[in-house]
Amino acid sequence: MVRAPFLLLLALAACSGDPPPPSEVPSARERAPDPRAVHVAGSGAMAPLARALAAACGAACPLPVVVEESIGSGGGVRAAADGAVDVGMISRPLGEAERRLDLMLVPGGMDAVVIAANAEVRVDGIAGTALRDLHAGLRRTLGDGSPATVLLRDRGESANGALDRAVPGLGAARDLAYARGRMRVLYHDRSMVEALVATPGAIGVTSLGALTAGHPALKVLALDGLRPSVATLADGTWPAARPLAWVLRRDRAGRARPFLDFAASPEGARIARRCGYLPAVR
Amino acid sequence: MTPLRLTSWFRARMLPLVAATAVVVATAAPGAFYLRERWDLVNGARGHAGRIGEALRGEIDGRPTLWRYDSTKLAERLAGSGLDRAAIRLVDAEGIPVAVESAPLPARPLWGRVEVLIDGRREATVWVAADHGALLVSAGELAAAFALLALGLAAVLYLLPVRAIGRAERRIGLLLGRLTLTLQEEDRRRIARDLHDGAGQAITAARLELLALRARGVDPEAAQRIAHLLDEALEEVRRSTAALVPPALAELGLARALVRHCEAFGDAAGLAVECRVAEELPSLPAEVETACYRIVQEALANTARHAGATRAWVRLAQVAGGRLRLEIGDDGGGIVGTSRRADPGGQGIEGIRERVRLLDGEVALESHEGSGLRIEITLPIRLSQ
Repeated sequence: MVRAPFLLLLALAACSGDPPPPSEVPSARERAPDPRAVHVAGSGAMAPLARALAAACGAACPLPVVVEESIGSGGGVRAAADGAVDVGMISRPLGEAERRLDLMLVPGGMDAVVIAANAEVRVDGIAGTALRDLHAGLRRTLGDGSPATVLLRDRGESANGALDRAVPGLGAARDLAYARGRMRVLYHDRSMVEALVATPGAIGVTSLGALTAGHPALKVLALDGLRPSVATLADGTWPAARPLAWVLRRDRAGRARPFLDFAASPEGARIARRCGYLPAVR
Repeated sequence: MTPLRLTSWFRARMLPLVAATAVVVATAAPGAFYLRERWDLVNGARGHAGRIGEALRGEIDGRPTLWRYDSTKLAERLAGSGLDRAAIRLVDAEGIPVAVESAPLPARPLWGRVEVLIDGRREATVWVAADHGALLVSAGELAAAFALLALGLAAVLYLLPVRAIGRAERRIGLLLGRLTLTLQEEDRRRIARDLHDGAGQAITAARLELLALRARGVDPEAAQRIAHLLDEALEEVRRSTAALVPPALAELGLARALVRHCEAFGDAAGLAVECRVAEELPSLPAEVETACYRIVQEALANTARHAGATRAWVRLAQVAGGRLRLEIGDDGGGIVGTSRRADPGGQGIEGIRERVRLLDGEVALESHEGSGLRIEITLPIRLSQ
């Protein structure tokens, strides 16, 4: 009889679960700079540009510039704010909360959001309405009647917003696709490019810079007859463009200044054009 | 007679026992189900957190600092690890929450936690929330079902024996009452017999001796006075024995005894009493015969005392179902219009009721103001054992 309450208490304690996690309130984090290198991280769309600039910086940059794997625009902003990296990369305008972090925003140019296709796809372009219907599941073939496999980027991807401005109704169609869960979702530019290369008939959204930097095996499709290029970005005719920027803390600006100056130099602009980006106007 | 109070005694002891049984039945199985399921939930959440921790380990190892900032990559890692989407919370080694794609947090989370260790150092802690609310609903539904079951079981466990005890108590009370009545009648018969055979015979003998003395010339006046006193004593003994046991019943049988009583009572009370007894009555138990005779005596006396009646009647017959019907009526003022009103359930009627109840019979009174009273009694011909 004496054991019964004890056993009950033991049973209750055993299945009482663990204590809950701490509050979700963001905490300030301070990380010391790396004295050996300047670290750059953020949007995957800017990573090819940053790597090309870092490789070409040479003597203009006293400290070596290390471009990390993509952590997304949001991750780049947070990492820069915490001092985890010296420069963050962002391929969208700052959000409301991000503006309150009081970071320096240095324009990095423009990127063309494009529809890329597997190299075996025979069509050269796609209509905006067809793209919307493919996402909505209203059609399953490309213009030549060949089957199409639509690959999606994650919901928070800035390329989605840029493309939605160019193709009316695409956002709602993509939401429908997310809800149905039948289309594969990729979380980074690199994984999107890899999936496009590996999947016959695949089409998906990516960055012109990401393709120009090293994936000639993919085909860039014209959208409603327009072909993405630095020239159409420059003259404003390419409708799916997104702004690129470098973000950095004011108290760490000195460490990153040589790299950003090089990026904004004529040599930096030449490198950007070569990589498929429209350089920022000085 | 003092009530047995068996039922209330039994109720007082059964109620806590039945209540305790009901509580055990209502709570044991749902409680065990709840604890078992809760155990599974917590362990499931911990297991899920452990698998997420394994998926994170490579990410943390490869990028010790920047892994915290790449929620999409973390989500991809977790999605690629083949786990169901869960409500996840992630905290780094410094205890700061890390943004990660997560299913919505359930309203009543039950957390399972696992630490991600690399080279023995805690690099992150993963929490996975299980939906405790759904378990509470399931356990609640089960508890409700078992509560109903317990209620039904308690009702059966309580009501069946209590009813049986109640029936037994009533039966025991009836038998005890009947036994008391029988013993009472037996005592009366014995006393009457003793009086008749003892005192009565002695007085009669003394009287005869006294008369013999008088015949021999011994003070005839004194002998006459003593004889007179002995006559009075003898009459007193006869009256007492008649009150104890109706002698007519033993001498004449129920039917003729009733007829004689009605005639004698009518003459004495100045009341026209009609007595109609069925010619062929079955053989009746002594208790029933005595009860019939006493009831008629009591009812007629009651009529004479209270009813202001000019006519009364008594009817006795066998009716269907093996029962006797005894009907006594009068043309008096009824219960409402007479002094019976002040004592409608008084000793007379109440005594009749008690006698009838002890024999498992029924009494019905019918009375209308100014139109008399009719008492209808049914009694079993055979008494139950």
